Amino acid sequence: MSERRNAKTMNRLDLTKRLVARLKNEEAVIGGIGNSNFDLFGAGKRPQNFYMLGSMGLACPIALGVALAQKRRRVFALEGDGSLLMQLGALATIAMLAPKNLAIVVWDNGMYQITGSQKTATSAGADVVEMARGAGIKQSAWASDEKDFERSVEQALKGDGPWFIGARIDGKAAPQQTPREPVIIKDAFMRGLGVVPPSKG
Amino acid sequence: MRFLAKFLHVRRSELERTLQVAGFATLANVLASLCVAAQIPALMMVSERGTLGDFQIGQAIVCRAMRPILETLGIEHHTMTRLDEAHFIVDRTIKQAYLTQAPAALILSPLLTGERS
Repeated sequence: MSERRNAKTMNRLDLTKRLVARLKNEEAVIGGIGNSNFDLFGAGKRPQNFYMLGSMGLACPIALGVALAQKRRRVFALEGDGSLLMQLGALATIAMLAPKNLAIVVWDNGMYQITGSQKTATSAGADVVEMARGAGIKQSAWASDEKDFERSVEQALKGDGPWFIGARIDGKAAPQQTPREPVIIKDAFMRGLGVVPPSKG
Repeated sequence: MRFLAKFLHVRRSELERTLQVAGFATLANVLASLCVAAQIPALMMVSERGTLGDFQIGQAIVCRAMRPILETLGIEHHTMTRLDEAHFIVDRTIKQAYLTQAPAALILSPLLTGERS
């Protein structure tokens, strides 16, 4: 089993593209705040993507809600290390509810990249995979390299979850940003999940 | 709380999972950035502590901040004090939240729940 210190430092956009390329069954993907959802957007628009704007730390709770509401759909949360550290209790809730269709991917570059690359606690040794295991998510592992990441994604697509995949990444900023259109994003996501938003008035 | 649960046709344990004011106060960012910004009809039931004889100063301060936070965010809220009004308020609030795609809060007063201070 790979440990954090042995895991290769990879690139978030490259890994996001590798993940999205494997999604063939309208899987839902929740992109966390900042670069996590910018790179999800950059990896190609999909109706089943939710680009979360401003709600730091809530990619995993939102993904949990989607996974519980639509149990036959696979759901991925893409979250940064700083965001996860802000909402660690979500891991215990996910372990307790144990949705089989949920996978969490945490991009760990040891920094709050969007606000100026201030260090997070993972840069000082906090290990998000160990935290996930400690919370009760047994299937938690670091991706040792790109191929290992792809293997972990394949496992999460086929087997029973919940899954937690830690990926060490570099500090490269996303090349493009998500349009700040929260209502359009929500409505498109609902339709992507087969839910028709009610019309107003 | 037992009577309210019976009245609303829910289990008492479900009502006991309502937010308390302290929990509500941790949610300002998500209410603003997700529920209000994306027009998500999240319904909150907030058990009101920090009023009508509460001895905990922290609860009292947070309680006084709750309604100003809701109003600043433009979130519809109603305080429930009477059992005979509960069904009407809950039904209409849910209906309006859904039809207008807006979050809403129902504040459960100690006058209704009979909670000890």
